[in-house]
Amino acid sequence: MKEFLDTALNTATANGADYADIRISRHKNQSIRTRENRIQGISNSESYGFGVRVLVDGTWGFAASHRLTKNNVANITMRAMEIARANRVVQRIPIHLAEVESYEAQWNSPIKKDPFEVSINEKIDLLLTVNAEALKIKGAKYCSSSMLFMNEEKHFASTEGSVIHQNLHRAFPSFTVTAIDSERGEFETRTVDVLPMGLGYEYVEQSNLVEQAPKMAEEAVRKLTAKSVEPGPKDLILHPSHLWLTIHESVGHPTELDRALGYEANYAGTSFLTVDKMGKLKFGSDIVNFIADKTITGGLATCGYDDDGVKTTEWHLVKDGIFIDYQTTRDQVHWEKYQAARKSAGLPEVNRSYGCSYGDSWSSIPFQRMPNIHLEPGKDTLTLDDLIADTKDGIYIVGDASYSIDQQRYNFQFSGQAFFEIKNGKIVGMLKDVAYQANTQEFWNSCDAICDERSWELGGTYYDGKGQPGQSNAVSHGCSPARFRNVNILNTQKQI
Amino acid sequence: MILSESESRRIIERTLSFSSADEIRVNLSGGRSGNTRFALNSITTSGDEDTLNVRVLAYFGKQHATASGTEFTDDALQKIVHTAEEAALFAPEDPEYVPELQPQVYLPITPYFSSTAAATPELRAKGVQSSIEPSINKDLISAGFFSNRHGFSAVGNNHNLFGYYQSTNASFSVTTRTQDGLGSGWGSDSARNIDLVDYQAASVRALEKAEASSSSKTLEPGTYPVILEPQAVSDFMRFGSYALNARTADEGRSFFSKAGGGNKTGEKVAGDNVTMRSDPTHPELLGSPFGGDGQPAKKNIWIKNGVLTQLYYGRYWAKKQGKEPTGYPSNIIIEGEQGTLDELISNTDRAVLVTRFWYIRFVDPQSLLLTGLTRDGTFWVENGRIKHAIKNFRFNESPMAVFNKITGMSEPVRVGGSMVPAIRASEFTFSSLSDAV
Repeated sequence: MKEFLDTALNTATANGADYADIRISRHKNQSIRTRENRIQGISNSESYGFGVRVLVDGTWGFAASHRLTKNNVANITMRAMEIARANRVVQRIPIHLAEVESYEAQWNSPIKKDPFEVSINEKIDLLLTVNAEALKIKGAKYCSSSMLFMNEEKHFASTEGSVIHQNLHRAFPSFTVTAIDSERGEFETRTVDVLPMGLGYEYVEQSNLVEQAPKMAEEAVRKLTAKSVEPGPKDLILHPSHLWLTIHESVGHPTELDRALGYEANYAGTSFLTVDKMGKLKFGSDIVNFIADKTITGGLATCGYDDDGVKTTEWHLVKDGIFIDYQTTRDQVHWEKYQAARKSAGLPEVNRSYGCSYGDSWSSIPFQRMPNIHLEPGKDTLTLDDLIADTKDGIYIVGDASYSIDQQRYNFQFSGQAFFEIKNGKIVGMLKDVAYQANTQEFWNSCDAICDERSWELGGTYYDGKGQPGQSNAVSHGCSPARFRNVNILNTQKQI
Repeated sequence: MILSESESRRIIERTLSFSSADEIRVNLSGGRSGNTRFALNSITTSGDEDTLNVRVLAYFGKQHATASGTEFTDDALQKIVHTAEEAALFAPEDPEYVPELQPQVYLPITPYFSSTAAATPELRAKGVQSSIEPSINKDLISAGFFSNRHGFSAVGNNHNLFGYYQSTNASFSVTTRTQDGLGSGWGSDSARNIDLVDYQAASVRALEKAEASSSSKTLEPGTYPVILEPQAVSDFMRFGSYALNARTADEGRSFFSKAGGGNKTGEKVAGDNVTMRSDPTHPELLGSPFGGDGQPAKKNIWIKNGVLTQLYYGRYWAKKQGKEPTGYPSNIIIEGEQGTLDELISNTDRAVLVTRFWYIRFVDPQSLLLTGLTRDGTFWVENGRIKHAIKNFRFNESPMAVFNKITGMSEPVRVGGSMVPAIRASEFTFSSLSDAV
């Protein structure tokens, strides 16, 4: 391994690169998909290769290949140099890299049971049992279930002296039940509230999928005859299995510094959180605190070092309701507008990256990707039951479903898996056809209660898309159930 | 990495020779891609990737599993075959098993152009330069992406099926914004042949839209007549094509399911002026000659004069229902009418004009209700001309509802992998305003 790492760095340095790094990585994925009593597919995939990134006169160049030989590493490094040199003529904003320590390090996801070592038979048995248990419920017609496992092993080395080896694991079991009313030509689905985690097979075993199957099936069936929601303003109580996605879209994306400064304008968009709002904007109510981190156990974005070789950490994005910072990489920290805005707002100087660089494959250019971002639990003692009991006219939403938000992250619309009507402190039944629309800042300022740390949970996604060409990032978001006052509820039923 | 037809055949045969499975299919794919990104009128990142992948699907009777990898030594290929076979032996029998295909005849499609295959970082940088310069001259800010790819795909199995083709694709897109952040425009072009990618015209379009949209007025949310530009039609209507699956319809979980059972084939689902089809041989689109399982790509008419004529049938469901497999929709072509977008606008009394949509998601698969937002240029049309820019909207609307309310169309134009017209519809529901620009 060392000879390949050295070849890239030595070739780049000898040919005039100001900086170079190489990632050699192996990505293993296993997917098992079933429906009802049969297997739809069992797939094991592996992808192995390397990518070399060089900085020449302030311009990035990157090239990657699946052929890991010493000669090809040198050739690909030279190709990255050629690309950087071809682009110098259109480079008007030279790249500068923030300082970083050099590390010789090893980091592994803290898994207890390697999913790739568990027999396929055991996994299939579990999934088919889930389907069978769900289909025992009258009215449940279909059940699809799956397990996805990921292992990313990568070696990183840079001309700044770092040599880092990391072994990351992620696991995602899930199932969806469909109930059909064939007479009326209607159907409803319910997906279990089990979300991906940066853990091993022990997470599958702890998820109680079989025990949850009948409950999910019953809820799918109940949705068919549930009351269609009355639109208008209502109080919402959002469970962590739902709220994680609202956090992801309305807090995670607008606090990406590249978006805020226009670097993602052509695809993902920009951000309403422009740098002049740092340290000033009342993003949420006083009880709203968002912390970014890449260190929490089980977090999907958790790792020891990012793809710039920066040691991971945690920091506040929103403190006591005020927006105070962004997610950054080494090539962003020096950006003048960011530094000037921090100074103007009287915020402390930042001269180090927060470690948010990630490339989703050896063939992908690393760039700024979202860390885990969490809503801190409420400081006062408060359970979900207390919160429901304290709500007069509201809806309790569980699970994530339809989601959409504009390119500057002002206006969003979310739906969910299950909706429960609250009247005078009690759940009185299920609702359907529910979605809510809100403005990000108004929504987070309407948050008047957050349950305490006892009900704090991680949610997340394998598939956060960003960049051109598109890359996928796995990221977690933790929170406790929280209440939002007077949110605009839509009825989504449509006759054609 | 591009493998020739003979190299592909050799590796497929080599891989097949390592297998003891009853049936085995090998897919090879790879290529070389280059891309250049820019933002704030300056190049940001640029890369080049060289990939090669092998995928093996092994069967023992009705048990099956797949494995894939990127290494091609004999040891590595044997390991991939072994991984697929071992997993297949653990799998229960699949009651939906269909045998692997026998040799097939493919449509003579060559979606390859040497100009695209030969494109260099210098050529892309030149394109970026020509996009950035007018933006700088007008004190505007541009961000965009220019990419090209040359790839190949091969499939073979132990029934002597074999298929091989090379393909190319090039794509350019740019977003131009005003310095005050109040105007935004977008333009794009893509083609199999990079020489046809008109990045300068796309850049001019983005620049003009940015300037024209910079002083927008507020139009209250509601239901309005609408003109969807071809990009907006492609963004929106493709969600309708996702529902064309016959099995989902027959199982009662689709817009095309019929109350009481079965599907809506033969029923009127759209206005008389709607015809939607797929044609992998269309000269402007040039699809792939076969799918991953080796099935030939086919021409299909999905909706003709408003009547649902065909749903998509995979091999298992086709056999079960006594139908012919259709092949997956290789592209979407919506027949239009005569005339240009400008002519459509000039014949319109009043309408919201939408450049494109963003973040479209299903809200209700039953009615195909979608939500999403307008982006990069939304305008109010009155008495045959664009009167002024308006603020962006969120919509909650169904493509099938719009398909029933079309009052005019332009001739179709190429948008990515589709040929679609601009469409004018009598009603479109915008549910709220967005402050986003």
